[in-house]
Amino acid sequence: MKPKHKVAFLFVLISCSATAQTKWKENFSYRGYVKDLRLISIDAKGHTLQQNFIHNRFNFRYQLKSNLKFGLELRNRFFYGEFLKYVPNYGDQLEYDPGVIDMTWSWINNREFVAHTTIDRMWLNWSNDKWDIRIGRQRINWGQNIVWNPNDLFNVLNFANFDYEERPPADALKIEHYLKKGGSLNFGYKFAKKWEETVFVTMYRFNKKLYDVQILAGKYHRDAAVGLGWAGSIKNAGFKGEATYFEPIMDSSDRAFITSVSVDFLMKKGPYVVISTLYNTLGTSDLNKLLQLTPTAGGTLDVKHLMPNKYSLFVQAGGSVTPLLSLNLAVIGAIDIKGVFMMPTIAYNLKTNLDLNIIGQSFLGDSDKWRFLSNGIFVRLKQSF
Amino acid sequence: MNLRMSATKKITLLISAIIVITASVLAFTNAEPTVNEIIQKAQDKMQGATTKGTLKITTIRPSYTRTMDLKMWSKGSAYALTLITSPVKDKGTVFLKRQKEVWTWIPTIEQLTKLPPSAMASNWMGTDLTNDDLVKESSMVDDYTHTLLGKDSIDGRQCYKIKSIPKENAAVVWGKLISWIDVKDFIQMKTEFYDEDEELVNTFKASVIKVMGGKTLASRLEIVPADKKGHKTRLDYLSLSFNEPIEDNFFTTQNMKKVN
Repeated sequence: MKPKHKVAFLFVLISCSATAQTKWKENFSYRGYVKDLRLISIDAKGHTLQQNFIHNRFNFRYQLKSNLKFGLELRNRFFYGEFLKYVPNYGDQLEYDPGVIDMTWSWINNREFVAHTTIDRMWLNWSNDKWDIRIGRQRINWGQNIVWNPNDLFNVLNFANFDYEERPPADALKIEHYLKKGGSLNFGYKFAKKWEETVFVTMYRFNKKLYDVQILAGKYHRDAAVGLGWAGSIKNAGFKGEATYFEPIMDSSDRAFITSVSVDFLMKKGPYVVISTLYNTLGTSDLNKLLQLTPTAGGTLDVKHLMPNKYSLFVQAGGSVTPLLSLNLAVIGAIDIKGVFMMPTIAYNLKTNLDLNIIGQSFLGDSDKWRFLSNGIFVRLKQSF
Repeated sequence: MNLRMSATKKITLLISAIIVITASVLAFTNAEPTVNEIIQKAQDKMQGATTKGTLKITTIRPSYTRTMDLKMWSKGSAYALTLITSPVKDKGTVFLKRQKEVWTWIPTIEQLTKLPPSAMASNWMGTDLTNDDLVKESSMVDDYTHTLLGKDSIDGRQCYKIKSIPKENAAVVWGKLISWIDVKDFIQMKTEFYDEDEELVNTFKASVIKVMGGKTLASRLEIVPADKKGHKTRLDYLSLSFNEPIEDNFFTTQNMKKVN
């Protein structure tokens, strides 16, 4: 599609949805937000770089029948500022859509301004009291653990990429069959243009002795994968974990075992605390790879590289100071490569639907002596609707 | 992630509080004689019944107020499911309590999270009261020794005035509670919460008495901290119905995704 057509397409899409609202108001709903995000990043040499963007999201739903629902979600992002001068092909980088159908467009793409749209959810969902089936671009979230999800073979979270909490999608089929006592049998198939990029997994989930347990097996890219996950408690603390083993069944893949175990608890009149560990047999000892986590570096990861290194520890404490103000500090220690990632967050609710966030991100490392590798301060205003 | 956690925490605590407050609304209907029997009746009333309702929670501070709207379903003290309907940023978030387990579902990121047991026993939004105290209120019969002090009038309604002292081994943070329970309709009109030094900490106050779901009850509940001027948390029941059958499997993690 030519850029002009893309813009036209978007307007048609939005205006169609707007018409739908008046016409079939009962069955149609939408929500979303607009965020203004400013980032000042400082690299190891003290160079600063400013990036600004406006991020808008729409979540549309249409109830076709009592048990049939259509969902469409899109994000529009508008980038400006000096950052674009240093990364001249930024708009091109964003243009890449990893799905089966290309639904990602950088429809204005120059050195001053990039306007970008992606449809990251578009699915049809059918359900009854025994089954739930969803096909299309969607998120399949099978994680039980808190920060790192070795069982999440469909959509991976990069913790540092906090502005995309919905996470990238998968073009997939998901089938859930309900069993007794909240248990379920699940199947997920991620479509891809190449066979070695497909993922299909069967998962059995049950609840026993106050534990949610899941067992899964399937194919992940070039590997066979088996996994176990649980969420339970020890005394008053939550005890959760996930482990997945990958065995290559095609060439050019690596055997891997990835596991994460977490404890979380709420201190009385105090913060919510999370402590989590991650072990990854594929981890490398290259400290610079830690910087792959920064949102400006793209921030993409895969389930076999939830962290670039082998042994990691995550500690987070946070909570509400007043009904409007909450504070949070998250620290990841990449223990074996002597790297540290810190992310303090201040969240303030200015008005009912208007939130201010100030978020810091610092990467520190010890190659010969401890020093800052990269710092960033994000200021974000979010208006929800 | 961290932002989500903080929101999840708030909501969880809030909702655990609501469940208990609702239970106390359900309580006190048609008993009389001894003070223990009044309290025991209250406990019994909470068991086995189902409740369905919509409510509004208002956090009041000297310089601002914030409101939250919710729908809730509960069955006995074992099952509860709550859906946030506003504000829009939290809309669709669901909270499920099933026996001793607690989950949240956040639809925008399609995330189901199991919460630690300590989520049920922590402070409530960092505001006017601790959630633990509210939760503990549901086990008043077991944890406290009650004494009838006499009768008193609250908002023109004749009330039993009851003193409750925690039993020695009870894990309760309060030193003493003084409650006023309406003689006619057994509505808990007022409760003062004192700490172990006999200092007043919080006052619970009920008002706007009306018939909801076939019962005469207080539709507005307020909690006022003693030492913070202008601070208040208000809970208004907009609708309530009782004893409509709800299947146990309504209270499942799968259904959390469907009540929206």
